[in-house]
Amino acid sequence: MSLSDKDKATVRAIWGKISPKADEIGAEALGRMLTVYPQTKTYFSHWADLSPGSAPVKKHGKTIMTAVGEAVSKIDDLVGGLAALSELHAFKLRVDPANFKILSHNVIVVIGMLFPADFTPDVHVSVDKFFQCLALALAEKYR
Amino acid sequence: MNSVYRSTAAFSSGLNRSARYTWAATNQSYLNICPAVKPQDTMVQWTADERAAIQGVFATLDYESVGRESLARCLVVYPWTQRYFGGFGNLYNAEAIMANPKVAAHGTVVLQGLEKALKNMDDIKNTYTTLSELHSEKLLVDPGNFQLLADCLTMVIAKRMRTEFTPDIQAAWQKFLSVVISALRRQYH
Repeated sequence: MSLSDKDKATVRAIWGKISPKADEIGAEALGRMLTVYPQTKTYFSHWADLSPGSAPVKKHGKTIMTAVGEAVSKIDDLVGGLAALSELHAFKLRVDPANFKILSHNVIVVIGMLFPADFTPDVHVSVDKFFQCLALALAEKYR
Repeated sequence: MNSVYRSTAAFSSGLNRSARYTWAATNQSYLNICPAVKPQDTMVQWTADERAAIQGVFATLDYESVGRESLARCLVVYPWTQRYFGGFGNLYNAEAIMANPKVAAHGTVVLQGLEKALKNMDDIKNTYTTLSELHSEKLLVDPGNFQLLADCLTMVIAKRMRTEFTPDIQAAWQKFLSVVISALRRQYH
């Protein structure tokens, strides 16, 4: 399920609309993931506070969305563009790739919440595909 | 330690339901290693907050509007799900799907089905026996699709409720949906 030119254009356009709130989206999505899917908390035992809106959650949400923004700019070559991040996740963080889908779902829920009019079904499908391709690129170096 | 875990896991999964509970009751010390079966897990436990959250979400739902949008999104975002709706006519693009009256009607049916689960929250499993048989034997729906529709429904609710759909409410709501999905999967053989 690779990204068509239309998907890429759609993703770039919606990113333009939502990027001013990227930090908020990231923090909100991460907080929801930790609450709704408690098994994901196992990766953050080094944080003092895992509740939505806490300082480490906000900071990490921002980190994640900055990387998503980078991925949007490298949408024509996600595997190449995200090689370093893939190595980080594969060798250092060792996050089970199944969790990428979980985080994507929560980001989509939050985008829908904050931008209900802009997140039409056509935009939704392109963004869902983009996150799937991003997850695949992130999992590239795993094995 | 590993061999004990593997053998207890194999042992417990090979027994029938009542035998597993008896086994678990007499082998409490193994349960930390193999927590697959605990006697108290015979039914879903809902906290008062969870019940309130789920009922609260339902109170906001316009079945026709939310049903239509959720099903339509599912058909657009996961187009392979269209395989189950061959008789629905025009599903050629997002606009057509959103405007399709059969999609709208069926979206309402889905939400009405969920209402049955809401009204029988302590026994969703048995409430859904007929529905599960319908989906598995007559409609032949791949159960993986239930999660796709559930995710679309959650997203549409988030869109409508905005920040009122707090993380805790989302957690309760998704727990409700996963119990529903599990009940729908039960009659697949």
